[in-house]
This record gives sequence, structure tokens and C-alpha cells, in this order.
Amino acid sequence: MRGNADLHDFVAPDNLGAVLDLLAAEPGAWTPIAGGTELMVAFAAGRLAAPKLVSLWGIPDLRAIEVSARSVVIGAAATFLDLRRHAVIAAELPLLAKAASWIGSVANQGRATLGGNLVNGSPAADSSPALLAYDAEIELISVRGRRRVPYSEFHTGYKSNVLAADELLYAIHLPRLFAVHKQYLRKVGTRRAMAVAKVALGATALLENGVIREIRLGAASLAPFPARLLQTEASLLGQTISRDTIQSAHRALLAEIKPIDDIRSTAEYRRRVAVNLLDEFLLQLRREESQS
Amino acid sequence: MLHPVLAAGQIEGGIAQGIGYALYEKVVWQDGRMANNQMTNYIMPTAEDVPPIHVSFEEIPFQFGGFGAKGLGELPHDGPAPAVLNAIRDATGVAFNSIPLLPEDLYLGLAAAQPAEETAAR
Amino acid sequence: MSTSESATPSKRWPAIRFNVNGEARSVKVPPMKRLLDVLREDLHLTGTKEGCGEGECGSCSVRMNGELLNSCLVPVLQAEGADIQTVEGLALDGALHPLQEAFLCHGGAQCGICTPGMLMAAAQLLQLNPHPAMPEIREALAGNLCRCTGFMRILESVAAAVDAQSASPATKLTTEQMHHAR
Repeated sequence: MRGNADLHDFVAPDNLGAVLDLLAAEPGAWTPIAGGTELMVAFAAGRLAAPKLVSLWGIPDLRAIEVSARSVVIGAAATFLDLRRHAVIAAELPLLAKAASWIGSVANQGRATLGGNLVNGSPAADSSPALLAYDAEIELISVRGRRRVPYSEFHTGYKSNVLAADELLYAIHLPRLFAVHKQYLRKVGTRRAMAVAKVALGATALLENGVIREIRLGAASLAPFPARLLQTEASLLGQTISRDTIQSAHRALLAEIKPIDDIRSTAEYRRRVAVNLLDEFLLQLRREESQS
Repeated sequence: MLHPVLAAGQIEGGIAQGIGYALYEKVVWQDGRMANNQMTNYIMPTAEDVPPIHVSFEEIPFQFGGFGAKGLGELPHDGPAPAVLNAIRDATGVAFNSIPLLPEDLYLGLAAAQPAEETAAR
Repeated sequence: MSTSESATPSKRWPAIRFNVNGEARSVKVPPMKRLLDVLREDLHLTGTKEGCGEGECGSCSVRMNGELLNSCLVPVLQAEGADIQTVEGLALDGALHPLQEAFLCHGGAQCGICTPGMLMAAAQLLQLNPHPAMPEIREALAGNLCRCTGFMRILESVAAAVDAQSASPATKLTTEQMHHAR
């Protein structure tokens, strides 16, 4: 164990206001830590460059999940078990519940938070494809007030995002519009459990008389950060699912993704799997259309 | 069999290790160092990956051993990898000769054997 | 490590209080110290093991406020006021927990390093779901890595404990049927 606990200041205010005041008083000096499933790994490895930490664990405002007629609002410190156990999420946002079951083990799911998954910003983040497919919105908060950003614009590069130095990710807003959409989510990892995604695809689509009226595709591990597959979406919007459409969607997909060779997998394999996952979704759509 | 439970346990463990050796546990080297030396990136099979393992014993006493016994460690580690690769050859017609055989390797090997696959009609 | 810890002036650190296995405990350690290290070094509860230090192997699993978690990932300040159960708290008044009995009978432990974590994960499962099927047992234990057993006898031990606790084990499956239920 290479971490030295003596070298870190660590405080745990019991309310959000005190946290925001700290972040405002010394912007960039305080590192928020919620469930710690990412930062404590860095700590044990001796690479936690965070001399001052402020705990978000146990601040009620940050863990609440609220349901209104139009949206589900998930506090940034809601854990993945909180998501799995929530009746409305399970019923109307099944891709998010499924993604929550992918996070590490049950022991990790009881501590890892949705906000932490997004702020950590791994290109392989388990929750991202579902949030992209559901058109999620991120709410940020600071002493200066609140603002919202579409989740698809939250990441700006590899492990970088739009958070200002005094800002905290406060909540994730999900519109309650997708219960009638066709939905798909699949992760291909190194093993059946405890696996970082080699490729993951989340998709929602609305068809009318066989024509794709709406489509959202969110991918992990195909770019420096989780992202919508906008060119592939464009190639499918307004189309029926024919062999030609599928071929043109392949071309769009292969043109826009940027998979790499890394410790887990290869660019070539990722390209092939990305095409396979897209096909699996499109063929599922076509099959369901022909049955209805 | 002097301790059937432990003997079977050793075999089951050895087989799980052999399966890991065959299909999961790649060692990634960079500049002479093992790059994936953590439990997060050195991939061993979990309880959701290991299939049912059936063990049965043929008891043939060893005349030089106490109570006719021989030692048993994790010798069953030796068998699974060749067995798995033989099974893959049987299933696909393609022979693979190195382990661990990851999906990435399988994909390249199968693609090389069937170059026309990419243009097949859907 | 422990000698240098006692050399650290502990009056620098305010007390952090929580319950462990039903007893009130208090430690004066840096708030970032891992709960795992506090349990093992300060409270001398060495049943909880460190296998990886990254929350991947599960040998450090404990239960905190009714949730299973990896104590290597918890800074002790976040355990303030919590109810913690470690493997030492499974047996009651000297009587082994049914899971512990089952592990003994069915060979669920070989080297034993994963065993405390396996027991805690299984105990958590049975708390939430007293009648799990084999796929649910596998999922519940998927975060606990074992190198010795190939998981077989651990899964059988948990299933046996389920049967032992069940009022009507009428649907008792053979070992073969159990393992083929995916």
C-alpha cells in the first residue's frame, strides 16, 4: 500500500452549502470524494495527487432521486444500488438499471456513484451509453448558482469536462420520454463480471411505419470520451431498416469512431464489435417492426 | 482417496486456473515490465465465468505411497488449455496454437480463414 | 507499519467513532486511513484481508449500515457513526453462522484468504434474498475472487446454507442441476 494517510487533509461537512463554500474559497484545491471507488484506488497506488479532500458521502441533497411528471432527477451521489432499487428507473429507464448492474461488484455498486462515474470521465464509463441514449442533462452547482449542460456536451476530451474549478456535479436529469422507445444496451468486456468495457453501445429509437423517426446512439470506448454517434444517427434518421441502410450505417460508424489499441483490446476488434452491436440493435428493431 | 473433498477442490481449482490460462490471463509486457499487474487489468475468471466442473476419481493405489496415496496439487492445471483449444478447433475448423486465446485473437484467426465473411449479405 | 503508526502523535487526529460487531469503537487516526487498515491495525480484527487494494478481489468486504462494501476503498472518516460488521461478527455466542458450517462441510475454503470476503458477501445475499437460485449466488459472489477453489465448493456451500435455513428444501437440486442453472 503506497498511500500515506498523513499527507491528506480530509473533511466531511454535513451540508452542501459548506462544500460549495470550500470549493469557492479555494477553487481547485479541494477534491470532492463520494464513494471513493476511483480515488481510493489511486490513493492505495500512491498516485492520489489530492492533498485536500472533501467528502460528499452522506450529504442528503446529493443522493436524492426525485420523480416528477416530466423527469427523473438523480442526485450525483446516488449509488448504483440506489438506481437498481428504484422502481421508476427499473421500469422506465431500464438501460440505466442494467448499466448500474455492470459496475464492478455488488460491493462496489453500494459505494460507486453516478456523478463519480461521470466526473471520473473514463471513455469506458458504464453509465454513459445509457445516459447518452436517454438524452440526459447534467446540472452543475456552485456558490454562483446552477446551470445545465446536455450530457453529450459534458466531456470535452480525455478525462476533461466542463466543470469550473468551484463547481460540483449536482444532479442528472432524465426526461421521461423513452418508455415508448425501442431500447438496447450491451457491453462487451473481458469477462462476465467486473469487466471494463472494450466496447459498449446504448441505443433508443422510435419507429413509425418502419421509418426511424428518432434515434440516439451512445458509445463507450470508441473515442477519448463517451459520445453520441452523430454521423451514424444521421445515416439512419428517416430511413427504413433495409440492407442498404445498414450498409450505409456501417460506413458512417466506421468513419466516426476512433478505437485504439490498449491494455484491454485492439482497435480492429473494437471496430468489428461496434459494427456487430449496431447490427444487433438494427436487426432487433427490424424484427420487432415486422412482428407488430 | 484420503480426503475426497479437498482432492476434488484441488482439481476444480486447477481446472479454473487452466481455463484462465487458456482464455483470460494475458500478461501484457511493456519495456520488460508487466503492464497489467493489477487485479483490475489482469483478467482471471470470476464466479460468473467459471463453468460447472465435474470431478470423478479412478482409484488406483500407488504401491510406494503411504496408504497407497500419491500427492495431488493443482496438476489439473495442465489439461484445460489444450482441451479448450482442441474444442475450438473442432468447432471452427481453425487451429490456434497459443494461449491465452482472447476474443481478439480468435477474431483475427477466424477472419483470416474466411476472408469473404465481411461482404456477406445481411 | 504499526510501529510508525504508534509513533504518530495521535492527539493530532480527532476521534472517529463507529460500531464494529455491536461494540462501540473509537480511533484517533488520519481521516484518510483506509477502513481496512483501521480494522486490521488499530482494532486488531485481522479477519478482513487485503488481496488487491483496489476493490476488485473482495477479500476486504465488510458490511456497513446494511450494505456490503470493500473496506479498502473506504476512508475511515466516512465510517463515522456507522454500524460495521466484519467476519468476526458472523458467529454468535460461539455458534458458527450456518454459512460457516456449510463452508466447513463442503470444502468452501482452501487457503482461506478469500473466505472472509466470501462469507460476508454470502451473508449479505442471504440477508436480502433468503432463497437465491444459483445464478443469483454467482452474481452476489462475482466480486469475490478465489484462486484455489474454482468457486465450485464455495457456491455449493452457499447453496447448502440456503437449504439448511430453508423451511422446505423440497426443491433441492442435485449439484449438477445447481451448476447448470444459469
